[in-house]
Amino acid sequence: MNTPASPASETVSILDHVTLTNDQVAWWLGQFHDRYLPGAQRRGMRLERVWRSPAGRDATTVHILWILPGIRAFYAMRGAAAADPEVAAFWAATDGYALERQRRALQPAEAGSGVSA
Amino acid sequence: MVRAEGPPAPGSSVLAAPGLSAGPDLPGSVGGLGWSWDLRADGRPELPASADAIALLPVRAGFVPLTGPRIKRTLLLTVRAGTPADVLAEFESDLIAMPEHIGTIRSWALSRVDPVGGDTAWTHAWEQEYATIEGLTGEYLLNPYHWAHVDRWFDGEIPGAIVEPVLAHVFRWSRSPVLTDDLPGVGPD
Repeated sequence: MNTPASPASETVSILDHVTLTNDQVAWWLGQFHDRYLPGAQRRGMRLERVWRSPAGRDATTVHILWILPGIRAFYAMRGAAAADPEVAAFWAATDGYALERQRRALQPAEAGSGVSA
Repeated sequence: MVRAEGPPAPGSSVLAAPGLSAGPDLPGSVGGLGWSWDLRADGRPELPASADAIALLPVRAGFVPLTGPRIKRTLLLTVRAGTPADVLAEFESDLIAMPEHIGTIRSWALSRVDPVGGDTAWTHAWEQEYATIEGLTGEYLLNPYHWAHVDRWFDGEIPGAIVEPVLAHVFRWSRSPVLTDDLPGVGPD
């Protein structure tokens, strides 16, 4: 049942989902760009894409895809984020009004990536 | 398990403790005091005032025979107060499953901290043995079961994280087994 280790150089994708009421989306995106994005980039997170999708009649989910250049870069990002109180403050504020929020770390699943079923 | 600034003092009663194994924390360790001791004792052993003793109650453990020197690694962590029992059980289950995914983990033990051992903020110890340092610093860290699954319990950016950010991650060489087959919690698998 052993899961093979990933090559250290394998990219890591981080996918955020933040579900907000429709009237909060533009404001939250502004906060995200002003308060979170610069620090995230300093922590090595490359902003790949931002999407939005309806999440019901009055809500929208913002999907944010980040790329890190490797697993050790992922751990370095984790350590830097944990040491920055602004990061915790940003998410605590978000969680105060977001309807739902998730984050997942993802590995490539393309053929040859070393992933076995 | 004891975090200490040095080895047991000559003449100390600790030297007679069953299973005593001690060594200097290796570079890359974080949150230690310089040395780590492992020993078994019915009561609180005689320790230097600066030492931090953590009494452990194994939840589950696994024994894998390994000859020769091995890396003994201990992660001390604190689960947030108020974490629901079902969430705590899921977290512990995820840790216990790590040896099934990460082949370099040899013997291992997940323990809860026994408050009878004295005042401490730690709630759990996650211990493993490895044949090489690279088994810990390579495979253990790079396995996706670790960074893409278990790590979410530790990541303060993720809703549902339950582990406080302050950790002690210490590892050292041991000439002989520390996590043995008579450890409480060793299962048939």
